[in-house]
Amino acid sequence: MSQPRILVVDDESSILMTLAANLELEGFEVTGAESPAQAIELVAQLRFDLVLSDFRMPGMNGLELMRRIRMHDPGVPVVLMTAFALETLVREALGEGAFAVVPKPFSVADILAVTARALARPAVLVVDDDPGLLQTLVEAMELRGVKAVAAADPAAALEAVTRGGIDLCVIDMVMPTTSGPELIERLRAARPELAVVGISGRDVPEFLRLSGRHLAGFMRKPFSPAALIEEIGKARLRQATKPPAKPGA
Amino acid sequence: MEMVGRVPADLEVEELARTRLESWRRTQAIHTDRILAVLMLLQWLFAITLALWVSPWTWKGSARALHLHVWTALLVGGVLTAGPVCMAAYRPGSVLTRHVMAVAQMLWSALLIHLTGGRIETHFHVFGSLAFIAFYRDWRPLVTATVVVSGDHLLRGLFWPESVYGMLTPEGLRFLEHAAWVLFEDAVLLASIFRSEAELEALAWGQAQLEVLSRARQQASERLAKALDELHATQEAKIRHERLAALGTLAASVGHDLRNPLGAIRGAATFVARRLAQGQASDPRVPKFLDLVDREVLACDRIIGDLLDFARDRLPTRQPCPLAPLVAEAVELVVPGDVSVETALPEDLPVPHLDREQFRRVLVNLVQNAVDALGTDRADGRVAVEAARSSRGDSLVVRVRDNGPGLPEEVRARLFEPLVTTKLRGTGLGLAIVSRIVAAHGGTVTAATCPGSGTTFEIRLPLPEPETAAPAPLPHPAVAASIPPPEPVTPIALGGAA
Repeated sequence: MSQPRILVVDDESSILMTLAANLELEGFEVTGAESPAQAIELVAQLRFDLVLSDFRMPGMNGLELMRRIRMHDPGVPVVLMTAFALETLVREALGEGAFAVVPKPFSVADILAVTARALARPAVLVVDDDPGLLQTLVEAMELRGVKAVAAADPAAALEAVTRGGIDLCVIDMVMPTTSGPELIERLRAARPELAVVGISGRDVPEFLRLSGRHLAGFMRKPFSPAALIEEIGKARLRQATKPPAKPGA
Repeated sequence: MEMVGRVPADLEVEELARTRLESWRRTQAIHTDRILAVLMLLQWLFAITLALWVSPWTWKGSARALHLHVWTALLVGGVLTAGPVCMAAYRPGSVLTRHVMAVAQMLWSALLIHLTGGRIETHFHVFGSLAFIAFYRDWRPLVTATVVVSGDHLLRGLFWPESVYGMLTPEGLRFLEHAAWVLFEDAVLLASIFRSEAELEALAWGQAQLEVLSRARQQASERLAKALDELHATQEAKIRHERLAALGTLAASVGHDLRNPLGAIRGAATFVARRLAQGQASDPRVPKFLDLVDREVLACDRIIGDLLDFARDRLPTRQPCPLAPLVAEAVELVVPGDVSVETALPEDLPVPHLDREQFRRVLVNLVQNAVDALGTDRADGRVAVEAARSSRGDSLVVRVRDNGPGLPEEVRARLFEPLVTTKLRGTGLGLAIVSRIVAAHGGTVTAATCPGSGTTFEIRLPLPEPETAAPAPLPHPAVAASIPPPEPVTPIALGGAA
């Protein structure tokens, strides 16, 4: 099996050098690009498993670059790094399916953790009894390069999680057969590393209290798919960079 | 609702004029009522006196009694006086009062005529009374009076002629002759009344207009004062806002610029640590990354230094400072890249008065800019630093030239403003600092550029007078960044003094 190939894009040569060196130590094959133009050229010629890019660069910002890269390779995960970018741009990038936006200066361990996650190309599991909403969300995510799996009921959800390849669930907290917190318990029992984002059409303070510490985020319907995807990106970053759980927690 | 023309103003003026007029008329009426009331009382007194004086005692046999006239004067006069006086007291200014006055006054004339037995001179009282009634400046009581007096003359003329004419057989239509004279006076009085009414109306109107205009002007001036206050407040708010925004931009720029070096340092340190932990200290990247750490730390320091310098704004402490060693020092501090930096300073260069540290900063910034402009991919990149006395002899000229690509169009106008930079990793403060320090030294800095040929920065410092021992006191620079960069048309030749 060949090593995963990573493209690192940053106009600051010192960042490029140090990051590439650290990634190579992990066993990845790293190609560096000092400008967005160079990066696009490389993507056109070679296939990459992951793109790590700075946000603020002369000529084109990271968001634009992500869009152009996706024209060549729609499924490649893109992780953006930012020293200071406009919040609106960051949210837009997340909303368009950037895997995560990592703030600089980052610890190498953090970037490696995010990289490892992104390379695994995990999918988001969406659990909702409303088939229309389910379809809309899954389609919206796929369109933005976020892999998604649909589950209309708890049984299907459990099966998908057990099968693997899923790192985050979006769960409707109010479903006819099972309550949100219950389902969350069962899913996390099957896979403890799972991140959960709750959604609901009503205020559910009780549920939130019960599952609070397990929830990486919560959104009230109605929300735009972009907003949900933004939340997913943030949750993934949080999940990747949080300190390891103490034993017995 | 918008109304065009003078209509709303006119209505207001009309209102005001009418109110004024009514008030004046009322005052006049009340005034006249009082006058007439007093007149009545005087007349009563006069009538009694007259009766006592003129009318003889009547004899009843050998008893003397007061003549009937005295009683008439007392009683009839009393009645004639009481009515008007009461009206004047309780209903002054009312229309009824006027008419009562008119009637009473004319009856008083009648009484007096009667008391004097139709004496011709007493008839003149009628004309006087009419004039008094005209004081009301109202034609209506005049009519009443005329009717009363004519009626009285007619009736008494018919039934009691000696009371009014003093003779038993006057001509039949004698009353008409009296009436005619009364009407004549009426005509004159009415003309006067109407005339004075018109004048009064005009006066009222004029005053009203004046008042309305003055009120409008007052309002306008109040609005203006308020608008000016608002303008001041808005301007101040805007200045505060701009200052905050500038601060925000500066903070963002500096924050971003600092985080990149920090990120690189972190990455380098982690790498080195891991290599060492793996027992791979001989990896060639280890020393390279340690160097990188050092470089990036310096870069951070420079950025922070720029920021502090920009914020500090210290007055320079000037002392005689030879330029040549300072230039040498500055050049040494600059990261040269692949560029050769030449200095050409004549031996007999006058010694300027400079703040050594600040001016070194100026030189470092300018030379570093020149070096950066040339980039790393030019074999013939040259930077020259020259100095000479100006042609007029009163200032020192220092030039920093490079043969780089020149300044791009978009930065030329704002070259010396903060946060303007052509560099990827620039704070944009360097030239703002230069301009400020040079201005604080009483000098000027200008830039001349020619696309493709290069850029020259020129500093002109006023030289101190040779006689003075101490440097002249410095005025605090009012505006630091107001140095305009000119643009020459001819390209600049490098190498050699100007």
